[in-house]
Formats: sequence, C-alpha cells, structure tokens
Amino acid sequence: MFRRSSFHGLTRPAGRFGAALAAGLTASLLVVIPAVAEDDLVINPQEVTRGNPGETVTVAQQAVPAELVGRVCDVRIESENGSSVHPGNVVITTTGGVSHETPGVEDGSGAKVIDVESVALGDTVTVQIRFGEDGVSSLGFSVLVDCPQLEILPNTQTRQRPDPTTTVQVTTSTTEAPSTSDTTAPAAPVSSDSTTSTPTADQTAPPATPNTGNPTFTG
Amino acid sequence: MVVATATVAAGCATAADPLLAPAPPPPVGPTVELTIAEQPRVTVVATAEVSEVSAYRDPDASSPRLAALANPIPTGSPLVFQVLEQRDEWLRVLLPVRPNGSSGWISLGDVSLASTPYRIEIDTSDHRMVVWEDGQVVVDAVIAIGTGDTPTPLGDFYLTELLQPPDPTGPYGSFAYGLSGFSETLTEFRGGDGVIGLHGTNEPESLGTDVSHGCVRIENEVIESLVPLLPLGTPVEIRA
Repeated sequence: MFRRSSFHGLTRPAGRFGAALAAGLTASLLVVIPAVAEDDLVINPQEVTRGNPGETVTVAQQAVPAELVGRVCDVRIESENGSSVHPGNVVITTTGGVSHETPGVEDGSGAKVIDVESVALGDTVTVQIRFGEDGVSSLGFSVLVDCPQLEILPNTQTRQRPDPTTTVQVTTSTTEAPSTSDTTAPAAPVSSDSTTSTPTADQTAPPATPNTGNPTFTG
Repeated sequence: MVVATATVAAGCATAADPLLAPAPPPPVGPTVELTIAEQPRVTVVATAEVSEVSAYRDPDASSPRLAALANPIPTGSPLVFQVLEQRDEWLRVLLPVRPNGSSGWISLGDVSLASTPYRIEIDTSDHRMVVWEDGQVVVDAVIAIGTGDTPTPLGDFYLTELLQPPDPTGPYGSFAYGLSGFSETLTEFRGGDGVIGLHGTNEPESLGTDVSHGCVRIENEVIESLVPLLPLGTPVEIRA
C-alpha cells in the first residue's frame, strides 16, 4: 500500500520548534502539522516502488515560500534503509537549478545515510529517486531544508542561533521491518557555514507617527 | 497455487504457525509528507540613518545599483524597509519601487533595525483584512478594493508612510497608510505615482465591494484603531 502524500503550506508563522527539530524530525513534524492544517494541500501520491534501472522519478515537490527564495539553506537528507537491499539507488534533491545526489541510500541492509548540502533555494524543492540496477526502492528517508537564523549583534556582527527559523521538510517512511544485519552504511555528513540569515532586532519599532498631508494614493 | 493458499489463509494466521503466517509485505515506495514551516515571524524593519540609501543587486557595492532612495521620503516620513534576510554586513530588503516585489541589498551601516510583531493580511476575494500581532488576530475588518480595471495588486508589501489628511471627511478618511506597492494599471494618480494606500473612507457603504482605483479602504474607526499600533515597515500581504 502506498499512503497518500500531503503538502503543508504555511502562509503564516507557526511556533518555534528548533530544539525539537534538532532532536528528531518526526517530533518536529508533529508540532508543525496542527499549526498549518488549514493550509494543507493534499496531492496524489506517486508510486515509486519500481521503475527501470537508471530511471529517475519524482517523489515530492514543494514550493518554497517567496521570502526564502534565494536564501542559502542546509538541505539535510537522512535515510535508514530496511532489510531489503537495492544497490545503486540515489536520492536527488534539486532546488534553484542545482541538484545534489545522495548515493548509497539502499546499498546495505539497515544502511543509514546523513548528507547535508548548503544551497541557495529556488522556487521549489524537488526530491527524486534514481533507481539502481534492480529498479526497486523501498526506502524511508527525510529531507529537511533548514534555514538557520542569525542574530544581529549591536556591533553588526552576526552569530548563528541554535534554532532554525524556517524549515522546508520532506519526510518519507517505509513499512519494512528493521534490519538485524550488521551491515554498515555509508555516511557522509557535510556541514555548511551559511552566513545568510533572517535578522532579528532587539528593539521594537514604535507606531508610525502620522504626518499631515494630502495623500496621492490610488484611493 | 501455494501462493494462493497462503494468501487466503493469511487472515487467520498466527505467529505460532509459520505455515499460515501472512506473507511479508511487499516493499513500498516512499510515503511523502511535505511541510513548509515558518517560525513566528517578528518582522525586522530597517530605518534609514543616512540621507540616501543605495540598493544593489547583490550584497556587494560593486554590483549594479538598483535604486537610490532619499531619506526622508517626500511626505516627510522616514525611509523604511522590510528586511528579508541578512548576509554579513548587508540586508536584503523589499524596495518601495516598481516593479512590485522588487528587492535589493542595502548596507547594514545605513540603517537602524527594529522589529514589529504585526502583520497585515488582505484577502481581496473575501474583502477582508486581518491584522495579526504575535500570531493573534487583533483586527478583522471588511475592506473595499480596486475595480476590475484598476485592481488592487497582489503580493508582499509593507507600510511606508502614514498620513493624516487635513480633511478627515474626505475620500481618504481620517488616516492613510502608504504601501510599498504600486498600481499595475495606473502610473499616475492625483499627482502621485500610483502608490497603493490603505486608508479610511467617507463612503463606508462601499466596503465589501470592488470600487477603488487600487487602494484598500477600511472604516475610519478601524484605521484609527491601527494608528496607535502599527509601525512603518509592517508587512502587508495581499492575496486573492
């Protein structure tokens, strides 16, 4: 069975969940969904269980909020394979015209892969799988696009805050039983040092002071 | 045949009877849930501290200059920007210039920063305006918008100025905010350059209709309730 997919688009801010996000993707997802329920857009799923070797299929695509387009954010792919092995499958994330490939996601039973890439976000984030030699995928994985927040210091220097301000999250799951194999997985975490941020300010802006005058607005 | 038997028997299989155990589930493809989540956004407002602020295409003064904006603006209000992001000593801001939605990079050294918890959502389809403060609705009001020939532009804007008309019984009512956006159909209006406004009205009966030249009209009482609250730079999202 293939569960249907959902797009959860947020048009307004939700609660801060940076700590939960760092602790676990599932937990953060549970925090987020209720806040965005009214903005959910449900789409039909795309079965990607089988395909031709070398074929690439899209499993998820999400529009990026306008205010995030152009931001340099971390795209983090985390996968944990089940018991079945499907050599050569590759997760491909694409945004802003740049694609990043995460290989080896199902090369071993119980394989765990963490891959982080820093990219400038485009209008969409697309997640694809390219089939390996057997043309089968049964992977559970998540893709988290994390735009960390930097704090503006009084001397105009910046420092990274521990909690992200914005995330674009893609989560997948598998029904495979956990593997008992000792197979070790390739893991290639790559950290990034993004200097782009959503700034903050310590002072609160006062209400606008009205000026007397005749408006020329398009009344 | 063996397979068929096992499938039929699967409904009453138990773990203790491996011969009748259900077949393992076939591998499934990824089940995908996509979430865009945004933190409670405390909008950062940049207020110019110099007489002219240059906006560049890139966070680099050697990149093409997109605009040179005077401070204060002609009506006397300080030049403000809604900040979108920061990169080292540069801020990407929404620019109060055509075309709508323009953004550029300004020097952090040219401005001072403050935050606002307020945000305005305007839904032209429902003729409603909602003002949020820290995620809480503080105002929910009926509005009038532009006609089909002079529609209210859609997009992300912010408050750039606040004017108090000398005649509160005039068409702009008791107060009028200027937005960073412009009419898509009018390049000039009453001597101005087609700036979209959010203002009161002397025609409250027009609220809930498409009647203006692009401005957003609200009741005088409503805009008077906003004046003590909203800073310049407050974001205004206009959606259909």
